Amino acid sequence: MKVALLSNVNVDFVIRTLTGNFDVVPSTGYGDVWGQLLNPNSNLNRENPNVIIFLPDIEQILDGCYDFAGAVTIIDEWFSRFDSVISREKDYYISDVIFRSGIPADNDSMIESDICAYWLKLLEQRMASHVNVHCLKLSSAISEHGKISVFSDKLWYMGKIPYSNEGTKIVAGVISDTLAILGRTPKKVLVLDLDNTIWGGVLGESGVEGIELSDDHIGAVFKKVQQNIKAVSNAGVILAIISKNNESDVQEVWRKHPHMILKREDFAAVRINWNDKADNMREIAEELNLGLDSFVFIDDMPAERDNIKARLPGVTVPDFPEKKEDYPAFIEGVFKQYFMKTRLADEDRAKTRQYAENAMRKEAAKGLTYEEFLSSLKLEAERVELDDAKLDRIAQMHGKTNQFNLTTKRYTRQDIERMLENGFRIYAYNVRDKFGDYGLVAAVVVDVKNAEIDSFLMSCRVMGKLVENYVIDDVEKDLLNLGLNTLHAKYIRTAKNSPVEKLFDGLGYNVTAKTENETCYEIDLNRRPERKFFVNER
Amino acid sequence: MKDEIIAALAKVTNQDPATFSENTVIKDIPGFDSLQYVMMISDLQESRHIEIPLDKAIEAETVGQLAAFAVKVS
Repeated sequence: MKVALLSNVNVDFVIRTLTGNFDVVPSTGYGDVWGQLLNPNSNLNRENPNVIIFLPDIEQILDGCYDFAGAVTIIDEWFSRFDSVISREKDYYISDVIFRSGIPADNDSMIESDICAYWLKLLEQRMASHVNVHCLKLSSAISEHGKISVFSDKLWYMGKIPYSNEGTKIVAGVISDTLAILGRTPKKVLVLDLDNTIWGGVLGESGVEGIELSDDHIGAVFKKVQQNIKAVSNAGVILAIISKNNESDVQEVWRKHPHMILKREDFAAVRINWNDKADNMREIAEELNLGLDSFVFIDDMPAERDNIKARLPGVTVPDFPEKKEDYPAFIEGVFKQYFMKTRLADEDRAKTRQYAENAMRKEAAKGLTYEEFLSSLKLEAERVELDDAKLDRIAQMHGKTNQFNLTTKRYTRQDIERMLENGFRIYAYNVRDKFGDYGLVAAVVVDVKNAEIDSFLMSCRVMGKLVENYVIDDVEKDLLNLGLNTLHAKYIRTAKNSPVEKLFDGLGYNVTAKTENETCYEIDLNRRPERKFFVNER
Repeated sequence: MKDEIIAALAKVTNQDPATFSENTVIKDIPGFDSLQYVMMISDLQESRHIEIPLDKAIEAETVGQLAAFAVKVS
C-alpha cells in the first residue's frame, strides 16, 4: 500500500512521522493539490499511490470568506474539482474540517459549525456515490485533545504548518489507525464474560440486586460498557457469551434487572456453564460456522485469558484494563482495533439477528431427516438486479468469503464494475427461509467470452442447505438461453476452501485437468444432471 | 538554556550533542532543513517550556543567538 498526503498547507511533519511505518510518497511542497493530481507527469502520478489522503485546511480554502453563501460556493467548487480527479483505482480519504483559529468576532457565531457541517454533507454525498471515498475523522480527535495542544500559531507563521509537534503525532495517529483498518481483515465475533465484564461483581455471590449496573458510580461504568457493546453489535459484530455461572441466575438478570442494556437476543451464541472456556469457544465457532481466528475474547480474569491464549492461539485476547474508569473506552478501542471496517454494508447490521435465527433453525432440525429439515425451512431464493448496494455487497463477499469460495478472487467494487463493462455476467441471489432473511448470500461471476465460471462464492450462513444446486442450475439455464453449450469451471485450493473442493464433481461437472492446487472442469449445458434442492423461486 | 537548545538540536538531527557549540550556524548543519528547525523550535516550547518569540526564531542564525532570545516559561 503506497500512500500520499495532499494538503493546501504544510503537512510535511505528518508525512515524515508516517514514513517510518508506511510507504508514503515524499512531499514536494504543498498547496498544489489539484495540479499534482491532474498533471500526468507530477511526482504524485509518477509514484502512483493507491491511497490518497486529503488534509484540507478549511481556513485557507475559504481565504477570509466567512459568509455562509460564499463558503458554500467555495466548498462546492472544491468538491467538484475532487469529482474531476477521482479514479476508481484508488482509495481516497478526505478529512472532516475544523477551524484552527476561529473566525473573526464580527461574524455569526454559528457559521463555523455550519461550514464544517456543509463540508461533511458534501463528503458524505461522495461517500454514498463512490465506494472508494472515505472520511478521515480528524476533528473528533482534535477536539478530544483540544485545539490549543493540536494547533500551533507559531509554527503556522513560521512555515504554514498547522500542527504542533503534539498535534502532528495525533494527526499521524489517526491516519495510522485508519490505514491499519484498510489493510487488515476485520474480526467477526466478540465473546464476552459476564461477571466483572458486562456488570460489576459476581452474580453467584451478590444476586441480581447486588451486581453493579446502574446510573451511578461503578454501576454507571458498566452501564456505559453495555451501551458501547450494543453499539459494537449495531455495527455488525456478532456477540457471544462464555461465562462460568448458573444459567438460571443469568436468566433472572435478563428478566429482572432494570439497567441491562444487552438483552438475550443480542447474543448469537451463549455458553453459561462450568465447562472449560476453550471448549465452549470451540463449540461456538462450530455453531456459528466461523474460524476461531475471527474471534476476540474479553474476560476480566487473567487465568481465563491465558487459558484461551494457550489453547486457542488464533483467538485474539486483549489485555483487560486495570482501572474500571478506562473500561468503556477500552471497548471502543477494541472495536476500532479489531472490528471496524471502512464501509458498513447493510448486511452486517442484521448479522447477530441472522446468527440467532440460525440457532433456532438448528433447534428446528431436531427429529427430522436432512431432506425433511431442508424442506421444512421453506427456502426461497431470488436472482436480484445489481444496484449500487448489491455491487457493494458482492465486493464485500469477494473480500471476506473464505470457505465457500471456489477461486478466492478478491475483487473490489471497481474490479466488478470493470468486469461488467467487459461483458462478464454477475449473478447474485437473495435467500430467505421461514426464520428470516439471509440477504444477498450467493454470487457467481461468469466470463461469458471464455464460457467460464470465474468466481463462485456463498456466505457460510447458507452452506449445507443445497442452495448451491439451485444457484448453479439457474446460472446454467440462463447461459444456455444466451447460446452457450459448454461451461468451464475451476477450483483453486486455499488454506480455507476445502469444504468446496468436490463441489463441481458433485454438481456433475467433468474434470478436464488437475494439478495439486487446481482442478479444471467442464459441463455440457445440454446434458445437465438433475440436481436436488429445496429452494423455491421467489 | 544553550545546553537545552543543543539537546533539542541533537534530538531532531539525531546527532551527538557534542558536535554542536554556541557558534554552530544552524542552517549550515549538514542535512539540516527548515522543517527540522521548526520542529526543534516546537520541541523547545512543548517539551522543554522554552519560548523563543516568532520574530527572533526567524532571525537567529546560531545556537548562541537562539539561547540569547530564549525565555523559560513555567
